[in-house]
Amino acid sequence: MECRDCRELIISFSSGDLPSSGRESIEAHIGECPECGLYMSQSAGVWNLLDEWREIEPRGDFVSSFWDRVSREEREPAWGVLPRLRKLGLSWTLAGALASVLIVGIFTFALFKPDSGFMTYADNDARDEQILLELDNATTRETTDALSIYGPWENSVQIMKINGYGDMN
Amino acid sequence: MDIDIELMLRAKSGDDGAFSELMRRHYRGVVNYIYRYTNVKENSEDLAQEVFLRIYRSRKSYRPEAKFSTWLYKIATNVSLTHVKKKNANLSLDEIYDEGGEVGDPEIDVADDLIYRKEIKDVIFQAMESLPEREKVAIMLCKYEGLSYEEAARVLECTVGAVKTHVHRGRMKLIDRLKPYLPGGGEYGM
Ligand SMILES: [Zn+2]
Repeated sequence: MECRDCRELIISFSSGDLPSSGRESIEAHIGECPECGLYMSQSAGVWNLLDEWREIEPRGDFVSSFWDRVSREEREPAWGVLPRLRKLGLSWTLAGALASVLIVGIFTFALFKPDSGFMTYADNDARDEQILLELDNATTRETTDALSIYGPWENSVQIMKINGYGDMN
Repeated sequence: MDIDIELMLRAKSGDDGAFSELMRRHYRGVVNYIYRYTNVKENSEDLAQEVFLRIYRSRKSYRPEAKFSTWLYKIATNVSLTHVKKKNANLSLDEIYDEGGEVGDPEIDVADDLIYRKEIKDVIFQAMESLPEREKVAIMLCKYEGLSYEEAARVLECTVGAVKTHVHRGRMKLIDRLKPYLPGGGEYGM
């Protein structure tokens, strides 16, 4: 057995996950390879060392302060556009669709409005368009966030890729 | 039926008491997971509440397709990661170096057992911080949260074999970085 193979199997060996044939070849290798023997004791040692980082004791009122937070957040006035949409009970898909319809509507209106020619980017229109584009972007973002926790996990592959979990090397 | 899934389904149908019970079963683990992930005790309860808040807000769309704990730790990982990134973005380079820089000279620390006791968690944190994210999360889930390789694989969305590899590689690096703290911490070749 190669040292490299031996070390890969040592965790399974220590946790008793190996069949007896595997255990025997590791024991045989360790018997004649002091370096792997040292690695095995250090592997167990490092696992035990991690226990030195003790747990903390959370506050006893975690659950009640959670509910306080929920009712506090429910009482807070909904200032932004998104919380207002939430209050209206619009689904994100519907909100996204509405935003898109509004954007298309503004363009169409700007194009066909009498005496406006192609003044799509009059100050007011440009401002409205900007607001709607932002709403649209925010909606897409929020939808992604919301879907990520609806579990298990329609768009999780994408999310895990963002977080760097999607591939392994 | 799995008790967590049963509680979550009751919460879905409007039973807040069931959600409280669910939190009582898991908040200690989540708080400690976040604490070890961020190494900031003060924030960990707030962030743990954020985790449960996200679950609570999306309870209506809950589908019992996976073990609740894997969902929970996946959200806890995302919340912790976001917090760490946000925090690092607000730190100057010097501050980042101070907080998460090289592991100090342990030979000196070990000489004083009191300092060793006091600092060991920071040393472990820094060693864990230096691991690739997946190795760190795999070790935290398997070592500290007691998840099986199968459950950790679901959290990390990879195969069981990949989790074993992450744990193995991470452990080898930890041995290297924490060697002076290990009994008989000599050299070994590869
Ligand atoms: Zn060997």
